[in-house]
Formats: sequence, structure tokens, C-alpha cells
Amino acid sequence: MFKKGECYETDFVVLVLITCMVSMVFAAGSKEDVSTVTKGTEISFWNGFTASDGDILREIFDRFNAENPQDIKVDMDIMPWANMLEKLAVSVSTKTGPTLILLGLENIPEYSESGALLSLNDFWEWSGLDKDNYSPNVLKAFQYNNNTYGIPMQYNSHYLYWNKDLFKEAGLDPEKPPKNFSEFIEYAERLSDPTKEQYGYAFAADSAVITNFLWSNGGDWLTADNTKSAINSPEAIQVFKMFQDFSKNKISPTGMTGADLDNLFYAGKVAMYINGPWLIAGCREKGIDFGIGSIPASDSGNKEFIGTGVAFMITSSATEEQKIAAYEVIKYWLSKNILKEWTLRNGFPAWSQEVLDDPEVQKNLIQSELGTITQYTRVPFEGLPESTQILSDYVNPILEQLTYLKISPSEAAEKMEEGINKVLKNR
Amino acid sequence: MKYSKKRINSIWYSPQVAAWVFLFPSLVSLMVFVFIPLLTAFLMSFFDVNIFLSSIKFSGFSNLKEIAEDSRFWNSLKNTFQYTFLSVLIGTTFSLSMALYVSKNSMFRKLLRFSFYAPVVCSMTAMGIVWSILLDPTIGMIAKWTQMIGLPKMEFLKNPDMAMPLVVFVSIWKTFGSAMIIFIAALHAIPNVYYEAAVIDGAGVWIQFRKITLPQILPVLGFNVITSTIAGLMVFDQTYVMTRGGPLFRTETIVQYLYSRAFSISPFRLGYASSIAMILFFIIAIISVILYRSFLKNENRVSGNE
Repeated sequence: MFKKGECYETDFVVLVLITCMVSMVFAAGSKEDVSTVTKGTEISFWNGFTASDGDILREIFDRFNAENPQDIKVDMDIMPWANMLEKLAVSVSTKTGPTLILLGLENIPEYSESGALLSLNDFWEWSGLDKDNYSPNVLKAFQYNNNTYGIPMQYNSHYLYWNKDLFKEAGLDPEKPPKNFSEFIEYAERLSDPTKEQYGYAFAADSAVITNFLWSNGGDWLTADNTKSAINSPEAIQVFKMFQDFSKNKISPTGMTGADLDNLFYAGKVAMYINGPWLIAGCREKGIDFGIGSIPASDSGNKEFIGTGVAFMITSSATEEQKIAAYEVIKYWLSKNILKEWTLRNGFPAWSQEVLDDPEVQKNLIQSELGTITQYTRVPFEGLPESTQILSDYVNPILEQLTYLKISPSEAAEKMEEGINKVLKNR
Repeated sequence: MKYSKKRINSIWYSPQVAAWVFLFPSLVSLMVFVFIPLLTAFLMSFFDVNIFLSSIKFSGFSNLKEIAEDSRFWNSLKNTFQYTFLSVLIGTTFSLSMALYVSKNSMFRKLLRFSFYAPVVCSMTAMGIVWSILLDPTIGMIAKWTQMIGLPKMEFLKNPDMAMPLVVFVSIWKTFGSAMIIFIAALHAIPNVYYEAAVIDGAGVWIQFRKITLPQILPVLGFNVITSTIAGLMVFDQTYVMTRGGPLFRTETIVQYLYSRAFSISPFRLGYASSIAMILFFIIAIISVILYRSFLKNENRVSGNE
């Protein structure tokens, strides 16, 4: 059998290599269909809570990892929202995406259209929770085409923060924030001091904050049926002018990002600031004597503010097992204790009835204030997949030009209208 | 047909087959990481594809037509050329000057060479972040120093006019070391007899430089110019990390624009971004050929007679 001078080593090596390659093809495991979670499942979880609320989130999830009876391990990865969105698109399309994500509701139309999100229609039945306990408006905001793609994690509007010490220094009553646009402008001017690098009101060139003023003033980005732009209106131009004047008169710094401005507010350099409730925890930590309340109404008393929120979503990269484990995580979050903790520690308004009825929550001054604002909120660009494209290609760059004083408010409105109609035309 | 072991061995161990076997690993990685992606990008530029691969439609030249009317593309082209021109011109001049200065073999000069080269081995992303913090108008050290010496408050990277020159500056700071080292090697290769003869003939320093140094290092100069031009046309890290293309898109380069179209901004159009990448490919190819020809032509002339 074995001949002299023959080389058998190469034969053996080749045989081993072929065996390896063939077995790798068959090694790709098979999926099992499960409706209860397997013990010890690990799921990856991405979100953008880089601010102080992220610390609270980490604490809650560390507790979950330690305490949950099914031994589910949640591997949480926190990164800035912009980074997360970039990574998400690529990772989902290569099937290496995270199981569970937190994402703003404005992303739902476009991500569900492209198949990146799993539909969560079976969640309520699976969990056995009482769906009626949760505010129907909030639940509806996370649906698209009558399918549920997100289970709400938090829902909020924007609020006016003011630094009470700076108010006192400027001779203003620290318990009386500006009530309308005129007072707002007047207070902002009085509270600005360029020599001390103090800003009366600071804002970043982002459409979200401006939407509050736009709506209160009677304007809007699009027509009610989301088919055409409605931005080129006197009401909008008035709001644009107000904000451009803030930049022009150095009442607000130019070119700053939201994160920069948060830090400026914490450093006591900004007298008034508008942002979501996530600043509350940071302000308490940094010892700022702050007030929080409703954004000023228009001079005619009209109030309309944005409603926005973040939801749990499950990406198409999740296996059936991981999806059920993620459902367990979501169910844990929706419990009264966790939602109440999020409301009290982090300052987010409650949207679960049992939390709203809790006496501790009712006694909390900030929460009762924030609770009155929710009724004036509405979701911008509701159900429009092109919304992020409109904002990043046209609205936000043009707002940036506005704050750099490169164009006039009416030019800004015209250019936005042109851009918005161009995008919507391709629908 | 006889597939005896001996016959297979004689084919397997022949020189040609051996050559292919040795080349095979490199060929595979070149294929996988260079040729196939290049071909795919070229093909994708004729399609309307998004990153989720959820809808693939053939669109012919409509991507190119759209690019021709895209003001942000032309803006990025202008920014890229501006960046390349500034960084190549200033960078090459500066690294050549530094090379001339530190080419003498003294201890101090050698220490200088080391410190000039140090930024080259650091990560561009990390350095970009460090510089953008230093240049931050509110918390940056450089902002503090400029205010201390009495200059008015400057916005640095937030100022649309200052942003690009500052990015070019950081780029040059990081990369001039490597060009400098190559120049030093070239300078050391010039025989000293030329300089001695020139001094005897009474030539000043500037004439020496123009007539002896420059022609001798022309090939190396050409190499540095070509590589830094290609790197400049493909710039991404610096602008992405320091300014994200802002403010007002004044520092957005071609690669950054196509990155944002493909990965950052909905609807994540890979086809459109591939078209832009193809255009960049041809621009770089044409410019490289032009530069190569112009330096190669001169080299022939130099090696003729003097």
C-alpha cells in the first residue's frame, strides 16, 4: 500500500483542510422556535443616552442583569445618537446589528420601511400587561402603518430651564419666567453680558427647539397631509427673525452643538435654555439653582409644543430567542417601579396611569408642572419617512446659515420650502 | 489518461505553478479588498441602492446627472481642491525646509528629527480630537493663550473662514515628518563634490540650492508631491473628526460627502455615493498621471547633461 518515495504528508494535510472547510459549511447552527426565553440569553443593547440620564440607565440595567430570574444578560453600549445611527444602518444590513435599541420615534417610519425593525404587534398579548394603563396617545406615536414598531421607553416635550442665580443678578424675579415671546426677548437681552461671556438664551441650530416657537406662533413645517411645505409663511419668518437676532446680538453663541450648550448651562454661563427633561439630573448634580417650566407662549397666548420620545425597538438582526429576551427587558421597564424611578430621578413626565396616580409623583413639584404641558404636545412630521432627510439636508443646514447671519429670515423660509418640496415630490 | 502520482507531482512542483502558489495569498487579498470592491463600486454607481439593500433598481447615468446638479458635491470638490492645494504646497515646502535644516548630522538636529517625526506615528483621529479640544473657543488652551496676549476672541474651528486653514495646519503638523525623513535621505545622497565645486566657483547658498539640490532631489520631490496630492484628494479623517464638515459645509470634502450620503443621512444611497467615488477615482487617476509625467519628464532632462 505505501510506496517508496511517495509523499503522503501533503495528502493528509489536504484531506484535513477539506474536512475542515466542509464541516464549517454545515456548522452554521439551526434556529429553534421558542416562545419562552432560554436561561442565560445574552442580548446587545444600543442607545444614545450619553448625558447624566445614561448613568441612571446603567444603574437600572445593572440591577436587571443581577436580579432577573431568567438570567438574561443585557450588554449595553452607549454612544452619541449620530454615531449610533451610522453604525445601526451598516450593522443591520450585515445582520450584525444589536438586538435591542432605544431610538427616537422620528426614525420609525424610515427604519421600518427598510425592514430594519421587527414588528412588535405580539408584545402586549405576550406580556400580559394591561395596555389600558398606558396613555393611548403615547402608544400611538410609536406606531407606523398600524403596526407597532416601538414600545415607549419615555415620552417628553421641551421645557424652559432658567438659572435662578443669574435671574437674581439681573434684577429679575427668579420665580417668574417669561410668559410670552416679548418677555422672552426682553429677559434674554437683560440676561446677556458678552464681557462676562454670559448668554441670555443659548440654542443650537436644530429644528427641534425652533418647532416649539413655530407652532405656538401659528406656523408649521408641512401642510396637514404631509404633502407640501408650509414653512414660507409670515409666522415662520417672524420666528426665524427672533432666533437670528439672538445670534446677531450675541445673546446666543454660534456654532455650538447641543452637548456644548448643556455644558455651558451647567457651568452657569447660560441664563435660559430649552431642552428635554434630561437636563434635570445633571443640574441637580452640578448644583445649579434652576427653574423649569413651560416654554413661552406666543404673544397671543397660543401654546403648542413638540412631543417626542424614545422607544424600545428590536432590529431584524435579533434571533427569536433574543427577541423574547428583549420582550422580558421591555416588560421589566414598563413596571410601575421602574417607570416611577425614571420619572422621579430623571424628571421624565409619566405616561403610565398607575405612576401618575402615585402620591409621591403627585407631590413632586417638577412633575406636576411638566404634567400640565403634555396636553399641548404633538409629534412633528408624524408618520413621514422622509422627515430625517428633510431635516438633515435642508432645514438644519439652512438654520445654521441663519445663525451665522449668512441669509435673511425670508430667504431661509424660501430655501426651506424649495428643499422640502423637492424631497416630497419624489414620494 | 494517466493521472499517476508522478505526473501530478511534476506539474505541481514546476516553477510556474510554484510561482502562482506563492503569489496566491497576496492575490486573494488584493482581489477581495481592492479589485472586487472597486468593480462593485463601479457597478453600483449605475444602480439606485440603499444600505439595507432593500430596493435595487437600475438607474443608468441618472446618478451622474444628479451629481452634476448637486451644489453640495461641487462645494465638496472645491473644498477638497483647496485642501489639497494648501496642504501640498505648504506641506512640501515646509518639510523640505525642515529637511534642509536638520540634515546636518549633529545630536541636536537628530533630536529634532525625532520630535518632528513623532506626530506621524500617532493616530490622525486621536490627534484631530486633541487639536479640536485645544482649539475650542470656550475651553481650549489656544483660545486662552490668544486672549491672554490680547487678541480678540476667535472662533477657530467654528468660524467658517478659519476652519479649513486650521484643518490644513493640523494635517501638515501631523504628516510633514515623514516627507521630511525622505527628503533627508535624498539630501544625504547628493555627493558633496558638487557643493565643493560650486563654492570654489563662488556660488551663493540660493544658487547652490536651485542648481544642485533641487535637480538632484527632483524624483523624491515628485514622489512626495504625488503621494501627498493623492492623500489630500482622499482626505477624510481630519475633517470628519475636527469639524464634521462644518461649519456651513466649508470643510466638507468629497470623501466625507459621499460617506454622509451612504452612511449618515437617510436614505443611505450607496449607488449615489459609489458614483461620487468613481468620479473621485478618475480625478485622482488623471491628476496622478499628469504629475507623474511632469516629474518624470524633468528627471530625463536632468540626467542628460549639466
